[in-house]
Amino acid sequence: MTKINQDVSDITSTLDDVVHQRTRLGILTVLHEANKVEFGYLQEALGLTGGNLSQHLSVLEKSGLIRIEKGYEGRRARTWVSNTRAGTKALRAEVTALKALVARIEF
Amino acid sequence: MSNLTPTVLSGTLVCMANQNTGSTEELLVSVGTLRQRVRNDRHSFWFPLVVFGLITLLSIPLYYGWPLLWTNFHCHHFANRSTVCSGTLVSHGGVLTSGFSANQLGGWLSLFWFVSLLFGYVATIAFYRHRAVTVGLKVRIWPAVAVGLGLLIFVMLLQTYWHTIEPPFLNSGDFWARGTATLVILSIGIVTLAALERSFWYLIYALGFVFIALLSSLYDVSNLVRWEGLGRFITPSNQGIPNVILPSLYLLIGGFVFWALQHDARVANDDAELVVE
Repeated sequence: MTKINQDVSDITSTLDDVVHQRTRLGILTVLHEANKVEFGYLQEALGLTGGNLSQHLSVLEKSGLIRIEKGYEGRRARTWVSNTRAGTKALRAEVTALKALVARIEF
Repeated sequence: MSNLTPTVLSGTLVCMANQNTGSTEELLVSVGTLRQRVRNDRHSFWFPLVVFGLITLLSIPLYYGWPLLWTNFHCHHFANRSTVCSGTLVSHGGVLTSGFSANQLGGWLSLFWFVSLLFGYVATIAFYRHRAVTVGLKVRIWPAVAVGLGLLIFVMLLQTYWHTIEPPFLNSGDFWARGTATLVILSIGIVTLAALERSFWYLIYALGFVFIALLSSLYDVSNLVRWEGLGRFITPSNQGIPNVILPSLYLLIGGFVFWALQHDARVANDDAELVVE
């Protein structure tokens, strides 16, 4: 194995499967930019169906990376999603690893 | 841990995780674009600028006659259109306008600033809550409100007990005498909001407002008007008004510019969605 492949392999071994997925990385990114994000906004911003988004949110919630709160705004049911500290940490680690990968390839 | 397969394809790293394939660089760009999109949707800081700009504008009548704090005030107009004014500074009082002695005018101005700033912060909270419900993004702004109102109440208490405490760091009559020191307190709240909004340009703008607020508190802005040859419009009764006009214009123009920029950014977001569809 060449040195560059070894370096890349070292970095990718630090990536978390739960976060290293385009949609879930997108969810954590959106959540990082606001205190709480409504389910409908996430769905629209990421271009997902309700069922698809729910599945990804479920995976992230089980991993303790996000928090989901259900409630009412007047008569309308609302679901608010927010990052946990672990979620913020995981997002930072993922972006740092991705940048490191790009840097390795670009020297 | 990860079962990713890193491969180098035409100089571009490709990571494969389950069915999701994409270049790392593209992924980072997508993350950046998404982040910017959320920020565009989230930013609402034009609103407090307009509200506090209008409040400052409304305070102008209260500054008419404020230069009565000058005794022996007189101006001399020279042939080269320059004007030189002089007088003796006497403080008018009021908890937010002077730390020396209270009288009717300073007291009313202090009451105006306290009530109107309270109203401004309540209106800002209500607007951000409304935006949170309509857009679907909740933003934490209570630290900015806590800093702004907390500092205001702290200064009022400090000023009330000025004679017994006399803190040396605030023991500057010049700072309070123009009746605009409240704007400095407001500017610190706006800087805090800029930090919470994570906007570089808003932060630069907010720091500019700190400078304007300090200028209005420590300098007779009417002197700038005199340099422009407009000295003949300055009288002893209205010479304190430019100290309020300058910050109110700064806030109102800033509010309008940021509203326009944020509106354009949201339209660009919507257009991008149409392209995707």
